[in-house]
Amino acid sequence: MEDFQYLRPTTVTEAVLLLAQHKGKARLIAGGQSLIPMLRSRLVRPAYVIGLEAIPELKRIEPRHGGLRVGAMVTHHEVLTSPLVKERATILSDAEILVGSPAVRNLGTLGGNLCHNEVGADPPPALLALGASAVIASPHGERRLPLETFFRGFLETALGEDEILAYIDTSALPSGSVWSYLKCRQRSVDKAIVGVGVVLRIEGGVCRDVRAPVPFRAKKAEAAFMGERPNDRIIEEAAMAAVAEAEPMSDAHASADYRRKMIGVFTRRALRQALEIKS
Amino acid sequence: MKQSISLEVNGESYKLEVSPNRLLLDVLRDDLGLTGARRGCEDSICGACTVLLDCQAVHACSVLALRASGQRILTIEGLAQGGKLHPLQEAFIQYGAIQCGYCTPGMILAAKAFLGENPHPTEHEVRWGLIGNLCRCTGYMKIVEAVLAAAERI
Repeated sequence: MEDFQYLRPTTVTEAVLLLAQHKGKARLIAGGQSLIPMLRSRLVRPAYVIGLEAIPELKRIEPRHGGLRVGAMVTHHEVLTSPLVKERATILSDAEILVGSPAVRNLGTLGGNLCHNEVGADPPPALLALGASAVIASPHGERRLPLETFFRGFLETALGEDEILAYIDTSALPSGSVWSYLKCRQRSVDKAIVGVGVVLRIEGGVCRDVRAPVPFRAKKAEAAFMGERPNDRIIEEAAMAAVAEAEPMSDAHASADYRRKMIGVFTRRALRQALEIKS
Repeated sequence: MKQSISLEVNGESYKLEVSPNRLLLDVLRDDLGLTGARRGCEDSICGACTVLLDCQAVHACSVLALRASGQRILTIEGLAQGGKLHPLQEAFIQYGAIQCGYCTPGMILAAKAFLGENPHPTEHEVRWGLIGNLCRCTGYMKIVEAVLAAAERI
């Protein structure tokens, strides 16, 4: 790992000013579970590393309009053990228990996870299915972005060079909602080959999500469900629509073809599991 | 530019000057001579470098040393008290949960943190709790038995 200077701001304002000052030469570090391997392999070589661990406002989980506001520096372990998350965003708890291992969850943060946009991360599909949004801070103030448009390409997000993901907001789920998050993987500590999050409201409204290299909402699959009574034919149609919409990548863990096939399998399973939770 | 950090490791305080790019694992092994935390995959997968940071299991290969400043660290060298082995260490010996020994320090510390949060686990919970620690010798059966036995004695 190459040498760098470590900076430790104590407020978000101070952090974004440091980012602006060292534009292009600085990287933020949250829990380090994605960044440290990237530093070690010299995938990134920042002259400055800005640690966000001393900013208390980023470490809170708060109720907000029936939903939640989760600070970007909240660890996976804290998300997982929060009664508020369990109550208001259960699918996020369901996804968090599948993140890495206890040691990774003790240090890794929700914000760090989202900002690296690594292939196979568990929280993004769950948060997309919840309709979550990102609150982003920069020297020019705050902006809000639906998470759908936050994830861009491989390891890329919509964050600008002087921007910090500060909070993740989720809204309340309407009554009658059911959900499921399922993950296809080889070893238990691996990232997902395919991760599928679904949230459905049985009164006829349906939202769902499937993702590979870039997490995305499978809107055609959602459309297949809209206004229909859930049955095997509709589940099959939605799964096939999700397969057609996805553009998975090939890597050492799985080929794109295998991933496409598993998107169908896991979408079908997630829909069945979600629908059974209700009955 | 080096920075001053203070670590409390196994109950002893250390003041050190470290470069920001040094990992906790390197400081423990190279500066303090505590080689119980093993260097394995260096990618947060194998768990051989597991230590406890303020009672929580972490992979020392994925923590900057300066980030651990001011925190309490427990390595396998600090687990026995007054010459007496910890119940987990005794159970690992008794049940033959050690073969080559490379994973053992990390496995025992991960188990200690796990039992701290879940003192009366089922077998399934033990397996789930040790998900981040790989063992290539034992097939896990004896490790799980040892952790269950130790849970009864703590």
